[in-house]
Amino acid sequence: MQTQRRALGTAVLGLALTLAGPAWADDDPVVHVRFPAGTLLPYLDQQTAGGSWELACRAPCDQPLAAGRRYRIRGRTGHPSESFLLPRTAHVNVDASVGTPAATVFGSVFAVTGGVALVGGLALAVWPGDSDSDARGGRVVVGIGSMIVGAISVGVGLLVWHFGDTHAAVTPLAPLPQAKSSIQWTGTGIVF
Amino acid sequence: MDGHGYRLLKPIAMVTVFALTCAHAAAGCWTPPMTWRPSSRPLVAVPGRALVVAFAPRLARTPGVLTTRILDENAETVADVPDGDCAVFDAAPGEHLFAASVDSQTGFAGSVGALRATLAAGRTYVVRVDKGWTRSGGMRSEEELVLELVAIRADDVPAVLSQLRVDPRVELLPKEGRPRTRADDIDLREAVVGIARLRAGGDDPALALPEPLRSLVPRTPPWSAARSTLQEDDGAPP
Repeated sequence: MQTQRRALGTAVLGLALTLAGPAWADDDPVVHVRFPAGTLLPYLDQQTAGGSWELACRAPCDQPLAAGRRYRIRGRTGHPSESFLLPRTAHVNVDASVGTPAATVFGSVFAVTGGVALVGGLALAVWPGDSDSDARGGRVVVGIGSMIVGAISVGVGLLVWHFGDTHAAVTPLAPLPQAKSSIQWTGTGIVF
Repeated sequence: MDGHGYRLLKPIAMVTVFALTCAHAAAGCWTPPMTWRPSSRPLVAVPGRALVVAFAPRLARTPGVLTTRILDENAETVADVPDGDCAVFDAAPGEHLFAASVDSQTGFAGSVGALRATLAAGRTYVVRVDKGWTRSGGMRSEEELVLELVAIRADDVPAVLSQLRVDPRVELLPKEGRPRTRADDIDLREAVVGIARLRAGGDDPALALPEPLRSLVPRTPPWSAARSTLQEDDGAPP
């Protein structure tokens, strides 16, 4: 009885996979990855069923990849981009910019140092309790100067951190061609 | 300042002047290490391999020597072609994509040349390294180096080869004894081949930039399949 049930289950699964096969393949977009000159080569990773990441292709890729999976862009070294899904279209452009670890480090250092200078300057400028007006005036000037330098450093740090980070912009290029069969597997059921 | 202060200042000033003089001299006279050697090999392919001869006409208005590095599709260095010289290298028969860049100038996609090639064993192929300058657009006012690898057609190969036979030529030093340069960086080599693939596929790498930045970089010159594709029968037979 158990053997018969297993055989029936296998047959149903086989039928579903047979129906699902062509429709799923039609949904795979051909992925074209491009990147600006002067930046690192983008690697495209795909997420496995177990949640880990594996290399799918390197720019310019130009091969079909499974839609509905999660992908990310990374360089040979450095931080990966946010993960993204590929749309169900015939062709997809992924415009990638791979950041460098140095930009992340420098951006963070600038931002943190600037933040410290900003807070320190503010504290210096508004700290009460100096009876000598000349000394207080000098302290305010130093505090404001420190705040200005700190603000500039924070701005530069954030800019370096932002543009030095890894980005990916996904643009669908062409709609899917008409399905060849009227029977399709949608992922949750069969549609006639 | 007392006499003791002046006695201290003098050596500091001398050291500073000496350091600045050395730095200036080094900036003007520094040349990249030699990665090639004179080659006496005949311009004939060895059995089972194709021979590629790449020559680079000297670019006018260029101080120093520009060396064009040629990479294969696996980002491996196959030749360094000094300006005004020609270099030879072996390649496996079959389809290839060769990428070229000059002295690590890879910030502009037009500075990366691309050549598609279908090579046959025993044949000798000729490639010309074309270089020029283009005025960059947007906010940048300096000139950018434009580089392209141009296939020499079968009809012209005998004449070019007869000229090149009398010219001195070079070949890449073996990998073990070759001095490392910035162009050997794996990230740089991979990026050059990636840009070459994009160009040879008809794409403009600058389009990957977001809109505000896109207008600041010069347009990449279009890659021409007619000029930069070596057909199998373009090579001189043995």
